[in-house]
Amino acid sequence: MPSSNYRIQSKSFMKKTILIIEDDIATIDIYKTILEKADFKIEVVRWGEEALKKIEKIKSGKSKKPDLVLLDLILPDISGMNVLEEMKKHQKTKNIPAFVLTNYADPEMEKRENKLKGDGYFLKTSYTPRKLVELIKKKMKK
Amino acid sequence: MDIFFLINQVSAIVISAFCLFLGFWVYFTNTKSRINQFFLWLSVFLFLWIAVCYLGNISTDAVVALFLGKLAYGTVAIFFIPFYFFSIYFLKEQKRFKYLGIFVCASSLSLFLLSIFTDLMVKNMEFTEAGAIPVLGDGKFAYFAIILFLALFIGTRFFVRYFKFPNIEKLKIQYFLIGVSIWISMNLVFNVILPVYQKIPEYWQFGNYSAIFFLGFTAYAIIKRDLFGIKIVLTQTLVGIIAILLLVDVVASETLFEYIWKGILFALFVFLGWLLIRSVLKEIKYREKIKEAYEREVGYRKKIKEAYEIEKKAHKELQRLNEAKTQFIMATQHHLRTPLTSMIGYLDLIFGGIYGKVPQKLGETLKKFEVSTSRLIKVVNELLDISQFQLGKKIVILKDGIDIEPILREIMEELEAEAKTKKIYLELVKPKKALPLTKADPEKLKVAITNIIDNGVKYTSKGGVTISLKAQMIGAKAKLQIIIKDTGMGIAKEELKTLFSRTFERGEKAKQVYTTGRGIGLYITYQIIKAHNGKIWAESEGRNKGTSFYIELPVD
Repeated sequence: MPSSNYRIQSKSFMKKTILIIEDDIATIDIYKTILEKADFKIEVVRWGEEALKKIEKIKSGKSKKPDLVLLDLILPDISGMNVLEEMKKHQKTKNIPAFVLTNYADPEMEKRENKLKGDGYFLKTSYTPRKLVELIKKKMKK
Repeated sequence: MDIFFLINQVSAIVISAFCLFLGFWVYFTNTKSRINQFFLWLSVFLFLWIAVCYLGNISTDAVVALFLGKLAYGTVAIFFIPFYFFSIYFLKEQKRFKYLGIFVCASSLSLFLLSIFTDLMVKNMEFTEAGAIPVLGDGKFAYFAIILFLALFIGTRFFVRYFKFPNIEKLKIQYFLIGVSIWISMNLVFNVILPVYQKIPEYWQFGNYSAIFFLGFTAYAIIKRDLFGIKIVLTQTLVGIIAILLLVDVVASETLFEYIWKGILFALFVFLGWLLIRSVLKEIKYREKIKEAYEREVGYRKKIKEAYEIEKKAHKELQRLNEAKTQFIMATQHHLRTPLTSMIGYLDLIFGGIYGKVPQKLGETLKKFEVSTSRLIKVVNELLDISQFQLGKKIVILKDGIDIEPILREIMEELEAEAKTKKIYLELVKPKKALPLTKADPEKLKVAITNIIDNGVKYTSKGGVTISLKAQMIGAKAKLQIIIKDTGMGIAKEELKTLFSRTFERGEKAKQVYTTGRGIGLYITYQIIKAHNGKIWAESEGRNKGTSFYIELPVD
């Protein structure tokens, strides 16, 4: 029994964490479902300010660093771009891979994302869940 | 002397009547204008002056003659009140000279009262051969001094303002000044020089009658918008004055011989003068016509310019509205796509087996659901792409080192199912050599090429679609060419020309486009290829003979 218990623990310990910053409930449900199925640990933040606090916690070591961030741009309070900016400012958080995953197609936004050295600007309607999982797995392997 | 008396009588009536006529004529051309109102007052006072002088002169009753004599001098004094106000409005004085106005009014009113009720000005009437002549009293120097001061004061304003006025206004003042000059100089000649120095008092009326020159010139200056050149008017006036003098000379003749030759001279002068004036008037009329035509032309041009300005404004407004519309679409894209995301997302989860095995029948139905959802997503994407093009945004972000072949494979995979259902072939002819990389936006390029291949599949019912790739040198530059050849319905020659234009935006044509779905996609493809610095064109032998699309992209 202890050995199997250990195994479960180690498996959950090995699981990679994805932080989803997103406000639409259906979208959260879809991503959570497919990503958990793909064996990721999921954390969800629904507000921009909340996301900023999370970054603060990661910086101070109070919170665990996620292995990847999925970032929506149109949040109820602030722009997701501000969250990305904040992330890229700090030494501790700037190397976390971050995908901008949005329904707002705007070349100017995309250029900003490029400048901030994010890891990609994707349209949600073009990246269906299974495609997204592929994309994430590819990124994790690198 | 009888004839002279008759002429004098007729002149007195005609000229005083004409004074009144001028006053009312000017007044009724614009009853609201202050200038015209005060001009009427001037005319009335001058009329009174001429009438009173004449009546006083011919009267034989000592009391009446004395009263009329006094009234004549009083009228001259009080004339300065309307004259002062007239000058203010005529000269468009900004300051109204409040205290000076009170001074002018007070002094002319007191002069008027003193002239009428005391003997200071006219103390008696002397009955001579030339009628009743006033004998001036002790106050005459004071009277003339004040009159001179008032005349100089108002006159100076005319000269001062003259130099500040624009040309057309200057001409008006010139007219006024000439009228006044003739009036004053004739007064000096007939009322001062002749009676006082030459002892010829019988022509004094001409001095009074000359007031008509003042009124005439001023009336003309007020009423006419375009004034004749002052030289022409001077010529006319001079001819008139010489004619009057010659006529007086004729009337004053003493022998028959004198009558005849002076009469002939007068007639000859009048005839030649008439010819001269007539030719001058003709010339002026001609010039006026030209000027009128010119002004009309200027008016038309102004109207055209105004219309153009309105048009320009409307155009700007339209552009603004169009931009607002496009901005609105851009802003709502997020709301349009969010529900589509969950629709396509859940379908993807279902097909991924997340919710367990899907029964076959349900799976087929959901597949149809997915096709519709994907189509809706495509429409939304197109709508937004077009909006961005219209806003002049660059939706294409070029990246270095892009390989075209995998993009084509991806497209083929997506369209394979449809080709299979239609039982047509869809093949990619592999290039013999490895192709060079290009600078591209893979996402957008995929959209652009998908549109063309998708059309090929859609409009082909027999045969199929072949996609081939080749690199070639065009001039000094290497180009990558993608050829999409179908065996479908083909495109008519006239349609080839407008294939990539924004025909979907144009009324009637748009209806057709929306039923076939063609047009929007081609326009987007064209814009994307253009943003890649590439070229796209189509060739077709005509209806039912297939179509070949060529896409040319520059090599890195």
